[in-house]
Amino acid sequence: MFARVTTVAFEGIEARAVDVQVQISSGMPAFTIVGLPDKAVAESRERVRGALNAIGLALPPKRITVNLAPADLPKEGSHYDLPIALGVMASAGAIAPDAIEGYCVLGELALDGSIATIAGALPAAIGANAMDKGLICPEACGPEAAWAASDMPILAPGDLLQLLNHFKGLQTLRRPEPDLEAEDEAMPDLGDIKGQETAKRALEVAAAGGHHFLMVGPPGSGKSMLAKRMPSILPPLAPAEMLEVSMIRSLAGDLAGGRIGRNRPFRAPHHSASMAALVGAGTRPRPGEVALAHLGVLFLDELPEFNPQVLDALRQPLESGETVIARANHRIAYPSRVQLVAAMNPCRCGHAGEPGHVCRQGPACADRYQARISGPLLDRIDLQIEVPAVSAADLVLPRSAEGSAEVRDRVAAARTRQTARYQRLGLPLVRTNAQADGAVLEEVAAPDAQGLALLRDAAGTLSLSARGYHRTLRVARTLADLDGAETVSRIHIAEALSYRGEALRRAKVAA
Amino acid sequence: MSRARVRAYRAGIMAETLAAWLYRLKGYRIVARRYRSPVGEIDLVATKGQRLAFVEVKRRKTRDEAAFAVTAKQKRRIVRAAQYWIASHPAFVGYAIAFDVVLCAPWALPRHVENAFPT
Repeated sequence: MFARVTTVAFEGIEARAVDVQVQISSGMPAFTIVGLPDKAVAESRERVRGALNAIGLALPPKRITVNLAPADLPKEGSHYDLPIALGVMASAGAIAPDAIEGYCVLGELALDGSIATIAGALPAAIGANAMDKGLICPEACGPEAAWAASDMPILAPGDLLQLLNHFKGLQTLRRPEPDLEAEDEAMPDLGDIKGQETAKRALEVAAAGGHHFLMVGPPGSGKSMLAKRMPSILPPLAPAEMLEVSMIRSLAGDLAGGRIGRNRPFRAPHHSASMAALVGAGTRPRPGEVALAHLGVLFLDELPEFNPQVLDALRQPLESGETVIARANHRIAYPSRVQLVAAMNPCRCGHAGEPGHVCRQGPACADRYQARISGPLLDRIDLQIEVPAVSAADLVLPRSAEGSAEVRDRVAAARTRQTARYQRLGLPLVRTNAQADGAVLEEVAAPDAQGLALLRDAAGTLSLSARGYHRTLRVARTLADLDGAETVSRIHIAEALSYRGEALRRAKVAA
Repeated sequence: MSRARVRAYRAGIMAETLAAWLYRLKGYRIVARRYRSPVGEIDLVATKGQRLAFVEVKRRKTRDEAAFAVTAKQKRRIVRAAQYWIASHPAFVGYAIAFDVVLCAPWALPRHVENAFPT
C-alpha cells in the first residue's frame, strides 16, 4: 500500500533527487499531491487518471496521497506524471515495487497512455548515474539520455503499456543508442567574404584567443556576415564540452530528436530581447541566451539598440563565466562562458567617420549613440575594430582562396598551444588567453626587450589604462600563439595596439 | 404536493427499491436506506466484504438524462453526508469507501455506475 519512486527536480543544470512517495489507504476516496507542486504538477492527477484508464486500469477508490520529498523544494515541470503513475501502480499492486527501485523516472503522460517528451533528459540521466540508478524516460529522449554513461540501464518506452509489458517480461525494451547530430555542412564559409582582410584577420585572432570582439562600421560593410562565420572557424567542441552544452540545450528543450552536436552554439538574439530572455529569469528559471551560448558565440547585432540595462546584466556572466539567477525561492547558476561578438554602427545614421561624410547633427549624434553602451562593458571587449564600407572594387575580386577550413586549422593549433600552456602552469580551468588574468597573464605574455620598449612608449602616448595595458598583452599573446612563437615580440604588441578600439574614438572626432 | 410531484416521488421510491434489490442480487447487504443528515441525504448505504458503497439513485425519462442530473453540488452533499454517516457508525471506519450511482428510467434496466465520484 506504499511505494516510492525516484525522480529529479532541476536546479540550474543540476538534477536533485526527488522521492515520489505514494500511499493508498482506506478512507474517503481522494487523490492528493503534496510537496510544493506547481500548477503543471498538480494537474498531473488528471493525466495519470486518464492514462491509467486508457490502459485498462482504474484508480483504486481509496485515499491516494502522493508526497514529493523533499517537501520544501518547489517542483516544476511536467515530468512528474510518469513517476506518479508508476508509484500509484506499484502501491496498488499492478507492478512489483522492486521493478522500479533501481530507476530514476521521468516522463509526461498523455491521456491515451503514451509518454510525451520532456526537457532535461540529459541532466537527469547524469544525475541518475551519480545516484547509481538507471533511467526511465520518454522514447524521444532516449538517444540524448544515452550519452550520460555507456553502462547505465535506460528504458525509453513509447507508452505506459510497453513499460508495463517490459516489467512483466512480455516485451523487452532495448537500450536507446546515443545519437550524434549530423555535421552541419551548410555552415557559412569565410571564403564568401570579399575584401575586409583586416576584419577577417581580427576575427581569426578573436577565435584563436576566445576574445570578445566588437566591430564598428557603416551599414552593409559585412559585420553580420563576418560574425555568422565565427562558428565555422572555431574548433569543434571537445567531448566534455559537448556534454556541457547539450545539458543546457536539453533543459531548454532545444535538442531536436535527442541528438547532440559538436558544433559550437551561435546565438543571435534580436535587440528587443528582454533581460529575462538574455540572462534567463522568471518565476520558473530557464536558461537564457547567454547560457545557451555557453562555450560558443553570443552575437549581439546593433549593440547600442539593446536596452542598456540588459547589456549591463551581461557584465557578470562575461566576467565570471556563469549566470547566477537569485530569486526569492531559487538560486540558480547556469554556466555561460561565452565569446561575445558585437556589431554596431558608429552613430545613428551609420556613416560617422567615413571620409567625406558630414553628419548634420554634428559629433553629438555619435556621442549619444555610443553612450548607450556602458564603459565597463566596452572595457571587457578585448578586440575592437573598425570595419569600413566595402568598395565595389573589392566585390569584383574573385572568391578568396582561403576558406574557413584553413583558418580553423590555424585557430585550432593556437588553441592547443594555449590549453597546453595553462595546463603546464597548473590552471586547467583556463582554456584560452581571454580567460587569463593578472599575474598569470603578465608571466605568460611577458614581451621581449623591443616589445617592452614599444609597449612603454604606447602606454605614454596613448595613455593606456591598467585594463587597456592588460588587454593589449592578452591580445598580443594570442597573436604570438597564432605565429607559433614562444615569446611575445614587437610585431605582436604593435598589432595588438591596433585592435584597441580606436574606431570609436576616431568616429567621434570626425563626425 | 401537485399530482405530478407525487407521481415523481413515488417513482423515485420505486427506483430506490429496485436499486436496493440490484445491490442485494450482487451480494451486498443494505445497511441504510434514505439516510438523512443535516448536511445531505443518501439513498442507499450497502456493504460487501470490505467495500462500503454510498449509492445515489436517479430516475429520469432516459438513463442519460439521469446521469446528467447528478450535479457537482449534489456530489458534494453526498460526500459530506457519507462522512457524517461514518462518524456515527464507527464500526465501518476501516472500510473502503466508494460512491456509486444507479441510473433508472421507465421500462429500462437500471445502469450501475461503480465509483462514480469523487476520484
